[in-house]
Amino acid sequence: MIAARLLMVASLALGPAAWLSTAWAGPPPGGEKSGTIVAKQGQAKTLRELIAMYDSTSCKECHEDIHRDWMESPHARSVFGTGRTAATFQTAITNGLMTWPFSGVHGPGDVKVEHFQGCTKCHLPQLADATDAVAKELATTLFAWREAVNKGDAAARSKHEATLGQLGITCLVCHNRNAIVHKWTDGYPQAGVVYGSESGEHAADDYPLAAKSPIMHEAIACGQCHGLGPNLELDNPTQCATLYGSYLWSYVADGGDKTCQQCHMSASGLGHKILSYRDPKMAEMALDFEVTARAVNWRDGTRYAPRAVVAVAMTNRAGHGIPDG
Amino acid sequence: MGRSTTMGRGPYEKSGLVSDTSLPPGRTVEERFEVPFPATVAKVGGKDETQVTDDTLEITVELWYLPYGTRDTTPFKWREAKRTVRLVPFE
Ligand code: HEC
Ligand code: HEC
Ligand code: HEC
Ligand code: HEC
Ligand code: HEC
Repeated sequence: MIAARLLMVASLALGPAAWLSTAWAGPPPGGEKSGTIVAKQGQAKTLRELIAMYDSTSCKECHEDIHRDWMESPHARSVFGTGRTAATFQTAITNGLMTWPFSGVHGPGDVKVEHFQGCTKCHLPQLADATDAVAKELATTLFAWREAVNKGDAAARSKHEATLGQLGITCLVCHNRNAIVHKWTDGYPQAGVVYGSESGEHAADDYPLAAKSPIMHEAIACGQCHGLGPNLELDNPTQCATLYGSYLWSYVADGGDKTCQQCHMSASGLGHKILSYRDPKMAEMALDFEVTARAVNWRDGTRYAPRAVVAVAMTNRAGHGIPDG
Repeated sequence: MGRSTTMGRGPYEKSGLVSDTSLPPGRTVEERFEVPFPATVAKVGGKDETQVTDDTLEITVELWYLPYGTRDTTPFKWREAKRTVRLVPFE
């Protein structure tokens, strides 16, 4: 905050003309790369350390409703999912990485952060803040979980599910780590700061400051993980969610003007309980469905069997193609 | 993997689309179905003639989402509409 105040003074000294010449109305929300959570704490060396680094259980004390809503959204368990996500992570290793001659992976022990990034760049972006030892631990946990499921070993299964269940897109992923996308422009998200709509003090001891995220209400905040198409920057591209691409190139291109947050968090009334069609309100918002049916027959019954002609018109009211992925 | 006419389902084996059956945003997609009335074919004056055995059809149209392509894995019914159609004889 000291640095921020100094900046304000400097800008004022330049006079009103300087303010008018930029659209920028305040200090940058972020700061130096050396001020991020991972830079201050160092890379996580175990899964436990990684979970602790972005752990959001302390937020529950004051943001109880938001915490409860978030727990019901898939973001809270973005590696385990409903079990299907964890199973596919494991298949990506056995049927993917282990079968490809140049991946360098022969078993779970060879899996590095780089191998997981084809999934974790969206499902667990904070894995980038961990060492390869953590990737290996994650891979072996996934294998041990799958084995426990296959063997019907309930104790081992629930132990591994508990670990995998703590890996998620926590409050601190959205409100700190991933709250700034343009880090050279806006600075790197700083340790001890929660990013939201306003700057000022924040009541939590370990997060004493709040700062305005330039993207918290913009589609890109969600779009950064919801996919554009194949992830071509990887040595071996993957493709899962492509919804942000559909939002940009179809919905916005056709004149759509709502953000993800406006539909999913405000209009739906769901707030942080961000869900898809399995929530009745989202299902209702999803599409118009019109059915007309009429009978048709010919006087000359030799040519044509009487039939019903059914016409179905479906109009997707979401801000992207549905379903996705 | 973005080659040939073959698609993969796993995110690790996918890098493109060969076919996309999702509904695009804001556009109306129309489907038309023709459902024959139950009928038998009888000879009338030496010619085949279709004779309807029931002049009323109860039609149910369901829109399903099949995340894994079949009804075996977490199928979900998005919409349902029921319509009754009746053949009106020409008099
Ligand atoms: C000791 C109580 C307390 C704790 C613990 C706490 N907060 Fe807050 N937080 C508040 C209060 C009070 C506000 C302001 C009122 C509001 O928006 O709810 C606030 C506001 C916020 C905002 C909105 C800020 C803005 O500018 O829009 C965010 C985001 C936030 N908290 C995130 C978190 C996260 C993430 C955690 C856990 C790391 C956390 N909070 C822990 C009390 C707390
Ligand atoms: C570009 C970001 C991104 C990448 C990369 C990615 N995913 Fe996803 N994945 C998502 C999002 C977002 C969803 C949920 C929403 C959707 O499907 O649109 C999802 C959904 C899933 C689902 C469906 C979950 C369910 O229960 O329906 C599975 C399984 C999955 N991902 C596994 C993987 C695996 C395995 C990888 C790596 C090979 C991977 N994903 C790579 C973003 C991604
Ligand atoms: C997937 C990203 C994401 C996660 C995870 C997330 N938030 Fe938010 N949060 C947002 C967005 C986006 C907004 C702004 C909503 C808007 O634009 O209407 C927001 C708004 C808020 C606000 C401002 C008050 C309000 O309701 O508008 C608080 C406080 C907050 N979040 C706290 C939390 C806490 C605590 C957690 C964890 C339990 C959490 N958030 C998890 C994205 C997230
Ligand atoms: C850090 C990455 C990330 C961010 C940011 C993020 N998401 Fe997600 N989101 C995911 C992943 C990964 C999943 C799928 C988890 C799983 O496999 O179950 C998901 C799941 C979802 C789902 C449920 C999909 C389904 O098929 O049930 C919705 C809806 C959703 N996100 C909307 C949003 C919205 C709206 C925002 C912005 C407020 C947002 N997401 C921000 C990564 C992210
Ligand atoms: C105009 C409103 C609207 C906008 C804008 C919108 N959504 Fe949606 N979204 C919906 C509705 C309604 C559904 C429910 C249909 C469904 O689940 O397929 C949905 C479904 C989803 C799903 C689940 C898709 C699936 O496979 O079923 C995800 C993920 C999602 N939205 C993320 C986002 C993200 C990220 C953005 C912004 C880039 C966004 N949405 C913008 C209305 C919207």
